Parts: sequence; C-alpha cells; structure tokens
Amino acid sequence: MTTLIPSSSHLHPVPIVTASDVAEAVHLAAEAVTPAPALDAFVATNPLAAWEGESFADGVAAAAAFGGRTLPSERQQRLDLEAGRLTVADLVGALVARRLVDPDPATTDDDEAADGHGPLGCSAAELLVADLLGDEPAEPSPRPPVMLAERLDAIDGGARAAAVDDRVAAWCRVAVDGHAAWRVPRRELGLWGAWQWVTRNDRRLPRHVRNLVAGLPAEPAEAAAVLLGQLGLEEGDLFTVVHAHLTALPGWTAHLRSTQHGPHAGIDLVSYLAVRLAAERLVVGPSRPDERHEAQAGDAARPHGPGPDASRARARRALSSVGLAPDGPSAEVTAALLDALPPAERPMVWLEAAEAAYRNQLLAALGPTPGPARRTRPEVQLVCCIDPRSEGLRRHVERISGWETIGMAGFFALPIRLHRHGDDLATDCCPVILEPSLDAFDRPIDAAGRVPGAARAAGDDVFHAAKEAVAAPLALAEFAGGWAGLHAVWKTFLPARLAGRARPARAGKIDVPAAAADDRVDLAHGLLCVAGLTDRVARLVLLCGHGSDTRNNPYAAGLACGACGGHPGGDNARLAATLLNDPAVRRGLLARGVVIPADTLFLAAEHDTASDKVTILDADAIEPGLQRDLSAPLDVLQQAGRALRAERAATLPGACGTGNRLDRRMRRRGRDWAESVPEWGLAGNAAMVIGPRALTAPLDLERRVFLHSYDADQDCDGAVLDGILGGPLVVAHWISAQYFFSTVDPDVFGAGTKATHNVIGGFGVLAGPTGDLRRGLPLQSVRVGEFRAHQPLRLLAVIEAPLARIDACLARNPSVGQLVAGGWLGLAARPTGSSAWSRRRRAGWEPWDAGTAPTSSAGAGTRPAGTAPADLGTRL
Amino acid sequence: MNGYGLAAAALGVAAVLPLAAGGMVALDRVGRARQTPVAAVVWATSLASILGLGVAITAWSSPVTVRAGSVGLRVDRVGALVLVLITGVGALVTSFAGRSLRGEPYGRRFFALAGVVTSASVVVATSSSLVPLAVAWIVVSAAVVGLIGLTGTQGARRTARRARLVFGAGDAALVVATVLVVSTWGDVDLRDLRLMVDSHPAIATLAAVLVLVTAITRSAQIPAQGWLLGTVWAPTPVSALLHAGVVNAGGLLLVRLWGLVGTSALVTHAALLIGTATLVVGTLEARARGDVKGALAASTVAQMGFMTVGVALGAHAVALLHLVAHGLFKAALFLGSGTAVATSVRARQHPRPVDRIGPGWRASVVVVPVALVVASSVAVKSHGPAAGDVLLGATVAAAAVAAGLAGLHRVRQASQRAGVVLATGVLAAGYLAVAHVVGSALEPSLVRPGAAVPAVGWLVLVGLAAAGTAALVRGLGGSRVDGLRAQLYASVVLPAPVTARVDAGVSAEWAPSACPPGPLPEPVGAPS
Repeated sequence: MTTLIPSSSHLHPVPIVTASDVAEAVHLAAEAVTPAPALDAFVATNPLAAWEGESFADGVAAAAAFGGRTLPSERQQRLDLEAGRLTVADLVGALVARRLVDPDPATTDDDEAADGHGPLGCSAAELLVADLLGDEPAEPSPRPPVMLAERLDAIDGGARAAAVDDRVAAWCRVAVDGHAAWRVPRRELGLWGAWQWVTRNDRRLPRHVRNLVAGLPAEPAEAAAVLLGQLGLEEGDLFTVVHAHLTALPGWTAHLRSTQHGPHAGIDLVSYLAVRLAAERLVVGPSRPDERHEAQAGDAARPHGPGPDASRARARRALSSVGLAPDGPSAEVTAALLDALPPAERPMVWLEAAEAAYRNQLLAALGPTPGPARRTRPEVQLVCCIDPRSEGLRRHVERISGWETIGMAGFFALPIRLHRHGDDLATDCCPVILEPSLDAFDRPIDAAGRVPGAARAAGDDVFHAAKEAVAAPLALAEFAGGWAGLHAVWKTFLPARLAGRARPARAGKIDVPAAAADDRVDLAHGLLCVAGLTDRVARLVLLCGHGSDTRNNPYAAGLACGACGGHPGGDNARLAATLLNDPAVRRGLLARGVVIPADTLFLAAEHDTASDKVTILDADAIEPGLQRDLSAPLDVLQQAGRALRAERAATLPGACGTGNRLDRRMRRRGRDWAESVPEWGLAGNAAMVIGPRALTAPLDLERRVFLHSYDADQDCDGAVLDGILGGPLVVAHWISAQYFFSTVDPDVFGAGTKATHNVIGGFGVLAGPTGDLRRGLPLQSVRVGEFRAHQPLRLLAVIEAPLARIDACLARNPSVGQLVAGGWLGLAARPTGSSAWSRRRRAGWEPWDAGTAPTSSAGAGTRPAGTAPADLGTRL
Repeated sequence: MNGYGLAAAALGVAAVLPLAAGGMVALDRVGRARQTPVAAVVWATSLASILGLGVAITAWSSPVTVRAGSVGLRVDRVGALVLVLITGVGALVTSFAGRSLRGEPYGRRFFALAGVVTSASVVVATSSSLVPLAVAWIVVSAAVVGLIGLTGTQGARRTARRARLVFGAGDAALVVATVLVVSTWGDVDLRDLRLMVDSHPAIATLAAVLVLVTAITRSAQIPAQGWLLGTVWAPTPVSALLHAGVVNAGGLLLVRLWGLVGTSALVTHAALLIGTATLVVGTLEARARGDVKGALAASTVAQMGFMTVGVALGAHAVALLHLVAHGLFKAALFLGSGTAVATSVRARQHPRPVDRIGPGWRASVVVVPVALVVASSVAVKSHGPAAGDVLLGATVAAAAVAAGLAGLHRVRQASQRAGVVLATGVLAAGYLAVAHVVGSALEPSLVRPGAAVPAVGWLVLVGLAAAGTAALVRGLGGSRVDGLRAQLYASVVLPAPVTARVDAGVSAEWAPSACPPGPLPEPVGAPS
C-alpha cells in the first residue's frame, strides 16, 4: 500500500480534533435520526423521536434541520376549513387557548374596550383569523448551509452538496449489505476502508487525488479528523458539521443506526462520516482562499428574520381582508397585535384548531356510560387488537350478534420469539419496546414432522443456485420467459383467480415447551387480566389477531399487526388459545381465583384487514372435549366482514360497483399484484380510548380510534393501566406520529410514491437507481391523488379512570408523562361514566372546555369531510 | 371479405387503436361521462392485443398486408411473433398501470404516451418499407423520452435529457441512412434491399453503419448504455414497457434491414464486438447491483448485448426467440419488483451458503467454450445458412447445462441429483428442439446473411470472456490483480468521480488551516 503514498507530511496538517472527539460527536449527532428498522418487520417510529424529551413545538421547530415540513401546511388547513373539517370557531378557540385573544368575547359591541386595542373597528380575534386565512402561507425554511460544500453552493449556486450526496448514496447502495453477487472489493475493511481501497485504485481520478486518498489514515475516526481539518473545520463547530453530514441523507443514517447492533453490524456511522467527508473533499477540491472568504461574506449577508416592513405589509393584508382601511391609524396597532403571532407559529395554531375540531366532536359523542357493566354471561366473546381497523370489525359483529367484544394489544401479552418449523431464523412477534422472553415453536400436525412444501423449497434452492451461475443469464430468459410472461398476463387481467389463492392455512399447534407450569399459568393470567376476562367467560372466546395479505407490496409488513412487531397476529393468538385450553393451566388459574367454565373454548383467529375475512386457526386441533359446531359464529364473522368491506369500499380508490360484484372485488383486492392501495391501513387514526366498550359501543368511530378495554373497578392498584400506558399507548403514539409526519411531508418523512420504488437488499427502498434510502410510509398509505385518507392530528388518549390513578401511572412511566406534558400526546379523562371530561396540561388537570370557544358545530358526525367517495376511482 | 381481408383490417385497427385512445386521453375527450379515463387506453390496448393475436395466427400461414397510401404494413411470421409481443406488453403494462399509477399527477400523460409507443412500435415492426419505419421510429423516440421524464424529478429529467441526446444521434443516423437508401434505390420493399445493394456497395456500407448506430442507441449497447440504467427513475410500468418492448427495437431493426446490414463484414464484426462487450459489462454490473430494479436494468443491457451477438451471427431465429422470451420475462420481473422484500425474508429463512461469485463458475467457464468448439465443428461442416443458429443455440444450451451443474452443488441425495441432471438435460434438449422448430418456421421470413458469419470471432470472444472470468474469480493473487479488480469494480459500478476544479499541483500547495471558512450558523436541529 505504501508504494502509492507520497511521504509528504504537509498533507496531514495537525488535526484540530482528535479521533475520539469525532467518534463522540457522531454518537451525539446521530441521535437526531430515528433508527429505521428493515422493511420486512416494518415498525412504526416517530421520526422526531429524538425530541420527545422536549415539547412538541420545540421539536418540530428544531427538526427543520432535515429541510422538510414538520407541521401541516397553512394551504392545506385552509382547504380543510373550506371543506368543513374545522371551523373559524375552532381557530378562535386555539387563539384563546394561546392567550392571544380574550377568553370571553362577551359581545361584539364591547370588543374594543375588551381587547384594549383602541378604535380598531373589529376585534383582535377577527384580525388574527383574517391573518390566518389570508396571509401568505408560512413556508418552512430550507436546510441551513453548514458543510463547506453547502456554503460554497450558497455563494455561486453550484451543486457540490448534491454531488457529495450522489457519490455517497451510490457507495452506500453497493457497500451496505444487499443481494449482489459481486460484492465490494475488500469489504472486510468496512465502509471506509473499502471506499479508500476502491477509490485509490480508480484510475478515472488523477494520480495526485488517488495519492491523497491513499494517504489518509485507515482508521475511520482518524481519517475523519484529518479530513475535517483539511475542510477547514473551526474549533467548536465539530458537532454542527457532523450533525449536518449525518442529517444530509437521513435514510441511510437511520438504516446504519438500526443495523449497528444487529446481524449486519460492522458498518458504523464513523466510517460513513469518513466516506462523506472524503467525498466532500474530492468534490470541493482545493478551494482557493478568496472563495472561502466569500463563504464568510455570504453568511453575513443572509437576512435574519422579518423586518418592520414585512410586519406592516402583513397588517395591511389583514386589515383589508376584514374590510378596513389598510393604511388607517389602526395599522400600527394591528401590526403589533399580529407580531404576537409570528407567521412561523401559525401552522401550530392551525393544528391545534384542527385537533380541537375532532376532539370536541369525539368527546361530545362519548356520552355518559350506563351504570355497572352487564353481569350476564355473553354467548361469545371476541378479543381483538386495539388497532383502529378492529373497531370496524367489532362494531359490525356487535350489530349483527349479541357478542361481547374486547380490545387489547394484538400480541395477547405473549412476547414470543417464534420458531417456525423449517425456518432457520426465529421471528420476534411482540412490540419492539419489549424483548421477546419466550421461545415458541410451531409444530406441524404431520406426525412425521414433514414440512409441507419441502420438496418445492429444495427445487427453489437449486433454481436460485443455478440462476447465480456466471453463464446463467445466457439461458435464463429463454427458459423462464414464456412462463413468467403468461403468469404476469394472468395476474394482471384475472387477479386473484389463479395466483390469488390466500395464504395457506396454518395447521398444528404453537407451544412454549420450555416454560414451567407456573410460568404458563402466569402468562394466561396476565392475558386474562389485561383483557378483563377474569369472570363471566363465555362459552366461546375468539382470540382474533390480524394481518394483511397483500402482494407485490414492499410495505406489506406495515399493514400487519404493529403489536406483533410488524407480523400477522395469528400466531400469538394460536399460542394464547393453546395455553388457555390447557387443563393444567386452567387448574392453575382456578387456584388464583379465575374461573374458566369447563365448556369454554378459546379459539384463535386472524382478521385479514385487506379482505376483512376472519379465518379460524387450528380448528383441526381442538381438544376432543371442547369440539362443537362453529358454523353459527363463522356466519356472524362472514356477515360482519361483508358489511365492513362495503363500508371500506366507500373510501378506497377504484372500489366501484355494487353488491356482490363490489364484494368480490374487495375480497380480492389485496391479492392483486398491480394494486398500489390494497387497503388504507391505519390512516385516519386520531385517538385512543382506554375504557369500557360501553363508552364507545354504538358509535361509528370510522376506524379512526384505537380501542383498549379497561375497567377501572377491577384495577385498583393501577397495574393494568400502567401496562396500557407504557405499552400500547406508546406504540399507538409512534404509529400516529409516523402517519402525521409522513402526511405532512411525504418526501422528507414519508417514502414518496410507490410508483418509482426500487427495493434494495430487502431492507429498504430507493426512489430510483440511487439516492437516499426512503423512510416512513409511502404516499399511497395516506393519499391518492387529491383524496387524503389521513388528516394529520396528534393522538388523543381518552381514559375513563380516576384522575389520581392516571397521575400515579404517569409518574411511574416518566417517558409517557413527558409525552403528555410536552404535547406529543393529548390526554382527556374522566373518573366515572357520568362525570365531565378533563384535559391534562403540563400543570395539571383542567376542565375540557376551559378557556376555549364553544364546541364547533361543524360536521354532524365524526366523518371528515373530504372528497366525496363516489368519484375516487376515477381520479388519475 | 375473406379471412385475409379481415386480418388486414384487424392489423390496421390494431396499429391505430392505441394511438387513438392515447390521443383522446391526452385531449381529455374521454372519461368525463364514464369517470374512467384510463379504461379507454386499457380497453384499446387489450383489444389491439387480441386483434394482434388474430393477425399473427392468420399471418403464420401467409403474410397479411395492409396499405394506406405510401404506408404499407406487412405481417410475416417474424412480424407475427413481434406483433404479439408488442401488443401484449402494451395491454399488460397499461392494465397494470391502471391500478398502480392511480392518483399520480402524470397518469394521463402516461396513458397517452403508452398508446403512442404501442402504435408506433407496431408500425416499426411491420412496416414494409423504410420511410414509414423511420418516421415511426422517431415517434417512438420522442414518446419514450416523454415517458422517461414523466415524474419530473431531477433524476428523471437528467435521464430524459441523456436519452434525448442518444436517441437524437440514433434518429439522425437513421434519417441519413433512409435518405441515402431512398435517393439511391427509392423507397423499396425491405425484402428487396438485398437484391439492390450490390449496385452501390459503398453507399450500402455507409447506410449499414448508420443503421447499426441507430440500433445500438435504442438497444442500450456500449457506449450508449447509460440512459437505460437511468430509467430506474421512471415509474415501474414505464420500466416494464421499455425493457420488454422498446429496447428490442434495435435488434429488430437489424433483422429487418439485414439485406442492407448483413452484406458488410465490417458491420457484422463491429456488431459482434459491441454485443459481446455489452454482454460482459452488463453482466458484471447486474451482479454488482443490490437494488432490484438496477440489477434488472443492467441485466437488460447484457441481454440486449446477447441479442446483438445473435443478430450479428446471423442467428436471427434464435435471436428473435430470445427477444420475445426476454421481453416477457423482464416485463414480469419489473412489474413484480415489489415482491423483493418478501423474497428476501424467505431467502433469510432458508439461507444458502452461496459462493457469492457464483457457484460452479468453473462449469460456466469450461462448459460453454467446449460446447462452442464442438458446435462450431458441426456448423463448419454444415456450411449452410444455419451456422449462426447452431452456434448461438449451442451457447444457450451450454449455458443451461452450466447453470444446471451449478444447481447440482446444492443437493446431496442421489435421487435429487439425478432429478437435477435429468431436468437440465430435458430443458437443454427441449430448447434446442424449440429453436430448431422456430428456426425452420421463420426461415421463409428471414433474409439470410450476405457476408460471412463472424463465427471465429465469437469463439475467440467467448474464450476471452471465460479466461477473464476465471482470472477475476480466482485471481492470480497479489495486490496488482486486487487493484485491477477494484478499478474494474469502480468503473463498472460507481458513477464517475467528480474531478472538476481539481488540478494537479494545487493540492500540494494547499494549506488548509490558513483560510478558515468563517463562523457557522447556530447548531440547529440538535436534540439536547
């Protein structure tokens, strides 16, 4: 290696930072980017998780470093106002809550005196609303130039920063573990070492540049320190510069963060930073001193903040839109009034108003609950996931039958690591906040232990090995072309007829063989306590997980059960049924005072949210004593599924037709390989209700609400509530945050349109041949054309429990307490079914209506007024 | 009206229908009433594909012709094969896009342009004379540039600009060639070219070179392969349309104009060299790409190289078979590229300890050249026009055997090994049989080579490629080879490094700490 290195020490100026400084700065700066798990176990994350320790307002302001929009745009909110999703009254309410307007605008005659703004001729509220409605929409500021390449670009309008990103992205594309057969040379040296090796051998570069690269230290942190010095780092700027580098391509940073401790460990962010700095060094080149001084001058010349002119112009616009003279004597007063609400803060007011509109309606609809719960034994109990999509299933099942439905996190309190027969790797089926503590095994029912399809797997194996042969491309198309083409034609024109057979039903049993008898009883007991199933257990209890059977969809795991770590929940339900049907477990439960009647059968099921079919699992493996005729419950589930499909079809694009034709289309929709919107997933989610089902029972919540069953009377010590707040509520908040930011900026925090997605290595997608790895949800999860399926709102937790108990739980879960105090999560509660709602603020509880305008009267129901469903399928 | 009259009418309708539907979508004339603007194009292309199939079946027994003014369309057996591919892919892609591009702001333009491409491609494939062919060719170029730039993102626009340059060069070459031919011999029937070129051999050679240039640009051959790799910026259905249909036009053009192109040994040898180089570079890049669409695009480049080799060898029947099979294959793979996540999960559940360079590479570098030497002795003995077919067919069959040997490494049980051997043998023999049948069926519609088949050249190139692969895979060791491998990797896989503003000498004088860039803005976006 030394042959290429000139022994010129002047290329190594004494670095002003040390390698350990660099490593520490990387460690700190990387916190700004939430790790992104691989797509195969898509887990919702808050892209702004780093700021959850601060307030929401501070977080969204600080996250501007990504150069994206962090709050819904004023333009969109104004459209929503026209469409009736919120009203002017909600806006006034938000202004009142911010103390910008007097909370008691008694009469219009008296407002001048009340506002104390002199003879304006109209109220402060009117002016502020006019400003919110009519001023130039506030736009997010672009990413500030920090890296040398960006600062030079800012002077001459060059594209150096883009060139750096381009080269780094191209390198990550090949160097980060993918499916390629020909790998990066000297891959074992790591991201930096391999880059150095390849680049110093790349003869497209002039010799002295190659020498420069070869002369850099092999240790990434040392190389980064040297390069930072060469790029003119000033003392004290280390963190800022490193942070700018790590947030320039946040997708790759997020991926590298998530793999640092995983099976692909070895590519660390320090190496990544070294590659970035070296690429910048090559792109920027030896810039001449005068340019650097220009960079300095350019910084100074940039304007800071709006001047008095902008303020006056804004006042003029507001005055003329309320019909007053724009240059009258009131202009100065108006300008002062409006300055209290800088344009950058207006989107926050809009958001608060939109949230108030939805929340006021929701809480008004959640009327007083009837006294104590029913004491009769229900015919069937259906336990569903808290997922908003289960709300629809539960509502229709209840409408059709006399069943009782229950909501709990869909992993059924069983944090398992599932070993499927025939699979080499286990799957973690539990929320990511938990470490799986149980090893569950899926036993095929075949006594010989044969895995169905083993022969086919061997055939696949041979085919893939043959495909990788060097000469194979010469023959592959000839042999596979005809079949592949006919198959494609069939799948496109006759979707779901041949290719569309549903996922094969699983047969056999799941068990946790290693668990001791006592542990098994513990698990079953915990499950029943969370579900509130400690008495009145029905003759049939359906434990219904959920998944989504979609094809050709890189984001399939995003539609599966979030509580099961982005996997279908059927397997957890199967284990739950195994445990609860076990006579030994039932005896153990009896010893703890939980009576399961002898005729009770627990049965696992899975709800396919794309087709709304509910499949009973392991029906062949029911113990002889518990077998029975299941046709009646199956019939109920079928009817409910059909009704739910019809309901969902109203907002799904392309779901046209009526009756049986529509129903057939909806059943097959997920299995159509061309379909970019198989279902809307959790779009629309806006609240989580923790309380008895009686609180929400007859209401149509439009699949916008997470429902967790909770009976405050049975949880005197608050242990169950602790679990709900610390687990399901946090997961729901992450889901809500992901939908929020993916909707607000689909290109920065969302993954952009699926049309151009290019899957890389099975862990992510690019939006083309190169570029940043995409994060968040694809555009088709939240919007199609002009139809917006998701309205970005922060999640509201609604709890029916004594306020003191909630406070105690928040104190025991400080991170959740901080989410509420910081405004990431709204919290409304009432102690009993007959009391009024209270709102939790940082300081404490206050009545829900305190300090806000009267409840908005817009929109009779909770359905957001969007595009009329009828003309959806046609907008292209 | 007899059967042929009907078929001729169907051909005319199939050629015009997608264009008409696309035009109506573009002009916003449909869809208001039925609320389904895309359905028009989907129905039109589907109907065109059914008509195309009918025409193809009729044309198999005797060519179907239709003439409107100076534009004549003729479907012989070659035309029938290609017509089914073009209209079928058009229908497949538009139907898929009707669901997958829902809500995209450019949806309407996609359907309009897809209709134009389908119609114009039908004319390219079936035109009986050069002028309509050249006009339709240029229409396809323009529409494809529009499709590539559809999304309007920076990458898409950059690629569209690149494609416009490359296609512009190809179109200009075709226009000049057309002018040369028409001014010398008139707008003759393409079948008659072979008989005329002898009168002006210099003009014929010049026109042949120009036609080769046109074919190279459209089929993404070296050095014009860059635009195709950039089309990954385009939406999935556009990629499917390009890779399954549009890029094949280069090979088809050479086959159609073989009466002109095939008379020049210079051109056939140049085509062989370019095709082989493209095959090697495309294969290397495809093996280095971890992103699904990038690997598919690079593999298309390689496959187009193989097609060019086939055409250059005069193995037109085998090349056409390859063209159709590859088109269907790539359309299916692109449209289904979203399954890659599920596939990777399955792959991880059943990990294969694969030699990443390719299992059984020895089989590949031994079997293929040996089979070729044997085949060439057969071909030399036969002396017939089918020498190229024998060589190319042998290449494909040998590659299948090599792949089968690679697959053999993965099974241990004797019965399974026997199964793999049997399957490989049946597939290779079956392929040879199909190639033979297709070859004899297409024989009447093909123009046989005028110049000598560059068979020796192919043997030499395959030998070189095999030796190169062996050297790369099991390098001779030492840092010299390592460095070469790194250099090869960089130049095949990585974008050209930015060297602007870096000039020798300056870096040595550059004293970095002398000129600090001034104060930075406040640290923003940093979590505490």
